Amino acid sequence: MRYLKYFSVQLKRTLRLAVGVFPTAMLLFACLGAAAWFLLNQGPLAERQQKYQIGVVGKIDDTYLGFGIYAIQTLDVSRFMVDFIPMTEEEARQAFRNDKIAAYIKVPEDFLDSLIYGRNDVPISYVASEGQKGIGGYLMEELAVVVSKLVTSAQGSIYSFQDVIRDYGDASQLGEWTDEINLQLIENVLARTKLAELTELGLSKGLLMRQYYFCAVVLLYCFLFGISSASFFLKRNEDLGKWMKMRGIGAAAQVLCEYGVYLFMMMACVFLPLIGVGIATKSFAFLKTKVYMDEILKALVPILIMISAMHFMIYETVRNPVANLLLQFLGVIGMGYVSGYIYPASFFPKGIAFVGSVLPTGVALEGFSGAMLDERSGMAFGLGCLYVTAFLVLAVLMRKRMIERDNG
Amino acid sequence: MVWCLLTEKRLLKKISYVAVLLIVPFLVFGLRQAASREAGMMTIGLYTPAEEGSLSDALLERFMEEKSVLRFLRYETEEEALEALTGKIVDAVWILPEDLEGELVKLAEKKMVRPVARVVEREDDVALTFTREVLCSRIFPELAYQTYVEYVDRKLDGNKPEKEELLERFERIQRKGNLFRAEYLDGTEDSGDNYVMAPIRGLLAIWLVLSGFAGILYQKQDEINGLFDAIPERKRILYSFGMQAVVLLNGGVIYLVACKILGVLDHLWLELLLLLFLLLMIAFFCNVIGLLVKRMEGIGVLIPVMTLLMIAFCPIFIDIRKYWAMQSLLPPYLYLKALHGVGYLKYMSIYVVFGFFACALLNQIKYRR
Amino acid sequence: MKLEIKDLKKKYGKKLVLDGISFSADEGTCVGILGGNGCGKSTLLSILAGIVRADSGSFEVTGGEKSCIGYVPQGTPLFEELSAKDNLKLWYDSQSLKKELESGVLKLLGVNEFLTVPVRKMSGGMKKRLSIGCAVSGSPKILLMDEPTAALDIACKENIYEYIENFKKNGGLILLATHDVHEIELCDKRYVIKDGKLTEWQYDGDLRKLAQWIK
Repeated sequence: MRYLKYFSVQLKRTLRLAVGVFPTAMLLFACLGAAAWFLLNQGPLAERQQKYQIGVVGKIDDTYLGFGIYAIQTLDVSRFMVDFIPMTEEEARQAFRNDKIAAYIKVPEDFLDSLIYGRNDVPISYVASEGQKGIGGYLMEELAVVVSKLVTSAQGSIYSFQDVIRDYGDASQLGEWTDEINLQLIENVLARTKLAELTELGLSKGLLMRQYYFCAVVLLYCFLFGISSASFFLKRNEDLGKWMKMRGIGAAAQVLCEYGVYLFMMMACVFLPLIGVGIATKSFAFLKTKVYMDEILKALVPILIMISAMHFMIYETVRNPVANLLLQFLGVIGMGYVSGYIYPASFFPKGIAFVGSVLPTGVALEGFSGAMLDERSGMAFGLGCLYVTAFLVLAVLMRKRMIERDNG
Repeated sequence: MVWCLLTEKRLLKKISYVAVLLIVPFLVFGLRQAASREAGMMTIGLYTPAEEGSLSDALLERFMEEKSVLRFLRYETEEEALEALTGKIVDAVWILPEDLEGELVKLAEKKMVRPVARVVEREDDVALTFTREVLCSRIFPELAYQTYVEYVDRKLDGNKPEKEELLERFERIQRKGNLFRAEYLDGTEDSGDNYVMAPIRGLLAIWLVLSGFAGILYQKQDEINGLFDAIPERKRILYSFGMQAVVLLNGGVIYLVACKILGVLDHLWLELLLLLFLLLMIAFFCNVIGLLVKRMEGIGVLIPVMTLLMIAFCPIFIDIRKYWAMQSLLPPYLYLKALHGVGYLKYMSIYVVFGFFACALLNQIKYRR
Repeated sequence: MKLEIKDLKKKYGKKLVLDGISFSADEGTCVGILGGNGCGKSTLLSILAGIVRADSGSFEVTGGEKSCIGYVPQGTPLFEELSAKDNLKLWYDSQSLKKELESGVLKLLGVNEFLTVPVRKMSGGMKKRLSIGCAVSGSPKILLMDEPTAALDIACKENIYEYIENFKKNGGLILLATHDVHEIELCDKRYVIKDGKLTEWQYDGDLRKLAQWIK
């Protein structure tokens, strides 16, 4: 009876606190949602086909280079993705800074000579990032290697041919034959993708990028909710804990009652905005998933049980509010990073990917993304149960320690 | 000065604060060790029925050895490779034929391009299209070679060089290396970090901002506890800066240690100068927010919002360049730009001056009431 | 009814806070526990309240149950966000709450005056009176009070002194950890804890002797 009374008092307290916690949580939800929407629909991760504007600085009216660029613009498969725009270096820098172009290349004056004479010692520079290089920068690098291999191998083929003809054949025919082999190689370059035959098995390759990041953003919100709900924890009265123990409500009962109430608050703060978004987007139609809204929300229940237990454990262990805030944030962002909330987990080496998958953030992502595909992960569920037990046991032990702490 | 020293003593007695400081270099070290292992944005399964020493085999070995954003796993049988594909261990499977050389000779003779390799995917998308470009770009040099051999054969009558001589000439003449060079806006060459570690510096800069906020929160806590009651109101901001200085210097030292572990401290004096500016910017940024937002709870609400804004709009994971005006208000943005563009130092100086006057003005307004 | 404490010992880390505390107290008395800051007064009360376990030793309530012990800690263990009434509802059922408010201990403490006020808006005196009201909800026969009037104004103090007198008169036993002069004077017996040991102190009105003894 007393436990029930304690539970209802905590519930009443939480409803009062919710007046402050709910708007904070909604602000966080809105920020996360806006950032995700922006990145997926407007920013560099936008899935829709968009033509990338690439600035070209330098002399390109030379027949070979100009022809090459013309060929790419009109004949190559990449013509649907890339637009080359000639400009001066200053224009290119400004345009790049103002995000009018995705990148620009600088063709040095003696580049063509170096290419024609086979020295290849004057490279084309490209500028694709201003600060830290993002994923796009690494892909540009790989693309640069692709183009390099195509050009140098074609070049090698032509010069080797010329070299042989000079030694063994009729050098007077060299010009005409060079044009012939050159055109053949250009044709081959433009048709290069036909070298591989594609077979699709028609199996789901896993989550679509928007589904994946939807899961990551929702879970990030859940994990960060611990910061929004700080007032639930930090305004606790330590003396109250001791008193409760004296009146027969020990550390375990206190933690479990408070946890139950916190879980209820967390579910309200997570489900309400998600239901709102779900209704506004016709059951998350933008996700293009076969799973309905209720399944998506149901999948979150065990995850929220784990996350709220984790918050409890953190607040019981680190009572200093400032250190708690820093640690929570470091923890969530750090764990989220290695678990694949920013880069997909498959990007990481095996070791990091494994660690990321067994962390609470990884377990949550595995569980939630599995639900999106209508698959269930036994391992994630098992690990989740383990975490809940461990977190709550630790929270109880910390509460007990706090209650029994010497104060004179 | 005494106040700063006592503040340092207080902070270092808080085990949780020290733990938060010390955890950072360990995490960076651990991540660096783990990140040095094999990784890739996508994983490709490789298979060929050809024997060892054949062209197909050599190509596959080259894939395994070359540095790439893709990760390659080689399989003994096609079934194994396809199982890995359906089991989502790999994103695609590339199968090279038994006699790749023969196939390419035929293509060169017929002057056409048709499939010689097989690519199997679960479901195609933009990213996998890109990986096929990588595959084709590796097969293409072999086709270019066969085209050259074919042309020599066709154009020469009588005396022709031997196969070995043709190969020798091709290998001698064909230049290795990249035709392209990645640069930053200031003309400096891109060092080519591992993509796993590349964002860490930006995240550390954000962590420094969080340290700045921690200083503000400690200071507000002290205010509530009455520590500043004997200090005139207008002078309290000096103590606030004192607290900030201590917290940020601690953070700065840890940041330098972490950067050393990352291996990015090439130009130490420049790094120190930029770090000093960053710390000043953070001090003013956090103090302005501390002056505008009275309560600790308010700052607690703002912290995750600010941090998310910084992660999204500072050049850490992606480089957004649209909202320069807003982005420049975030200290890590200018700092990360300045790392590869010393010209940004002037903007950082403007920020510091502006921040100083903003703090002074807000302090005057706050205590005039 | 009698409270008997036998050889209680408690160590925190290397520090021996209580080193064989033994004494007894009868009903209808107020026993003062005195001593310097950090000497173990609150620890002793916490052990008797059942919050902390002693390393060795025991205590008994002859002629009563251990469950008849009430505890008013040094702080104010209340839910800040809730009103006085909500806090009381945790400890009283609706009937007994009504009865105590109308004519019982809560009326005596003057809790009626601020029943609907949220705790965070209350003054220190109001919080302390409310704490006492919550502590005595089970009609305890033994009341442990840890510096009940610290930092309160005179009017509030008088209120609580009156309550203590009343409690004693009704046959209750109070153990009072205190530094307050008037509270010391309220006590029928006084013990001093020093270096973990308990000694009875005969009060002759000269507090300077006590101060020297504690030093």
